Amino acid sequence: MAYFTWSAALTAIREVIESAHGSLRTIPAGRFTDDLVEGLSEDELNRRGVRTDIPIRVRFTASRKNPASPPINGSTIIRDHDLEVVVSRTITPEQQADADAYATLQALAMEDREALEQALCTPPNLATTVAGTATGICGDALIYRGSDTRVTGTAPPSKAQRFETIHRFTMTAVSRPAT
Amino acid sequence: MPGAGPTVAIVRRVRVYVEPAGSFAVDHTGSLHDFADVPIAEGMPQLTLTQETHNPLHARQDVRDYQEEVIGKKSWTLQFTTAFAPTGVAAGDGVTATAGSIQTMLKAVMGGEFKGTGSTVATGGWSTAGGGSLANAAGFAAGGIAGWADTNGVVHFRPVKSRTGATGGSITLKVRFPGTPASGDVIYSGSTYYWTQDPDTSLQFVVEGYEQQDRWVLLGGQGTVTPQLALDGTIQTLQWQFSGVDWLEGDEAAGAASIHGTALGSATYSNYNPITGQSGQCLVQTNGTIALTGADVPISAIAFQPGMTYQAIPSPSGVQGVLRHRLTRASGTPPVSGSFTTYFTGYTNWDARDTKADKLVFYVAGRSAGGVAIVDAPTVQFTNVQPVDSNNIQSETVEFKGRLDGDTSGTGDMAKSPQRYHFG
Repeated sequence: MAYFTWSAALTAIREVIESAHGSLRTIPAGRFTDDLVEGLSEDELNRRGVRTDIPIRVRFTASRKNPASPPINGSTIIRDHDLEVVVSRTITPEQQADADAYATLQALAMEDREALEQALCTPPNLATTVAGTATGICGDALIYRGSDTRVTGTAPPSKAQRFETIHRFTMTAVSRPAT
Repeated sequence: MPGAGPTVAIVRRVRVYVEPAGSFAVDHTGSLHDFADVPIAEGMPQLTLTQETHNPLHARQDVRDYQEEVIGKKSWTLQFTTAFAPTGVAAGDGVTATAGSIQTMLKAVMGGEFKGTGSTVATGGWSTAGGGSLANAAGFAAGGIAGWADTNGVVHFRPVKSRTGATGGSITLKVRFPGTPASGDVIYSGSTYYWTQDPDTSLQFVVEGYEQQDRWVLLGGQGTVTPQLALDGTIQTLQWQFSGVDWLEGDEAAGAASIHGTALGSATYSNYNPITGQSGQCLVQTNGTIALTGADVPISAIAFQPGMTYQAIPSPSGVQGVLRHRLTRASGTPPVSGSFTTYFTGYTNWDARDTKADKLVFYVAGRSAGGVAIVDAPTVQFTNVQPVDSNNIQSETVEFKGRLDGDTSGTGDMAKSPQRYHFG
């Protein structure tokens, strides 16, 4: 193969998150949906964030050379690619006003973090796609790097807000360029 | 013009060839197809080419003068890093383990190589998780490895204590699998690299840069290899340090026409499947105890340090005054030592130190067949146990020193080796 199997890798990552793909520590289907698309209005984002299938988005953020990568004239190139999974849960007016309800929301958000880490970082969950295509992801898993949270959206009283969690991972990819 | 200076340093190529016993430091570049590309880490290697010069010792008659020095002998050193990479080829049923250039160098440095062939569990299955009959056990050996995939697809590799027979033969593991393999289950084998008492081959390298005259042939080399086993998800590495007795400029080599003054060729790495180091397993168990319970140690750090070194044997009839390299070990230095850090759970390791218990330390990187690299110190003694703060987790670091394997059946080099590398 000339290039890393990007399509298969992204497909497998999304399948692990959305479709219970994998063999161990899987995420139940229906917990997340890759639905946090760009270009949505605040109201639409808030509507999606109250569904049971919480909207997420996978985004690659940075790439760099892996220190163990052989010289560029060789038949193997190893690169590290950072990606983030953004999970957006809506803060309802009740959760804005009630500390107990807000705590429940936070607990769910932190459970999201753990579910993603366990599923995406356990080999061989990312070895192949559901269709059986090998991903080429080094070690058949991602490496967890950390998470951040933020409250976004217009302030009350008329609007809901969103409790977003951003989970950072690194994917090490091996390319086999022509020689 | 491509390859004309100034050029970049990171575009390089290193090829290796194993000089057979009796062909020490004989230029083999006339048959370049026998060399294999080494997947060195970019930014490597560090090469030192030494040509000694010596004062001829005769007095001068002018205080401002100095003697013209005499040309002496040559030598070289070469250091580089490679990934601690499996081959990518699973030694499943009927499949024999393969080797890339990393394994080729390990064989030359350590002396011994075993390439196993996988098989399946014999009809009827195993009665225990600690071993049983195979359709064909010939591809396994005492001191080697055996692997089995659980229902989740996670492959568990174990050291093989003994093997009897071939067709319908059986193996016994040093530590049980987490489940009992059923009839027809694949039992993976792998390759094993182990110390012999007198490895008698040597290594020859062609080191090339992008500049078309930056080409060097290194003859008669031997060295050491030390694993660097980061557990944070980066790629674990092997640190190679070689020294040798003679070197040639590219245009002096037998293969000069293909080395000197030509564009740098592409390096092709075969049987090379780098993995990241965040997943795997560390087994620490008392020799003779087969239980998995208590053997799977959650380590936060691990290190192995080889104690075996090579000594150049002087001889005026040798190459640059060296007859060959001889494996040796400094008195008082164990063949392998190391340490691991685990969170504090009690006095167990302190007690093991006090009783001088013989322990297995078997570190596995990777969880899939064809994607596993292992460092194995089969019989060690805990020599120092200390409480430590490991990233704010109360932990203990256990230092150990190894010796000949006392827990493997057999008397051959592979069964007795104090340290082994396996690739499954």
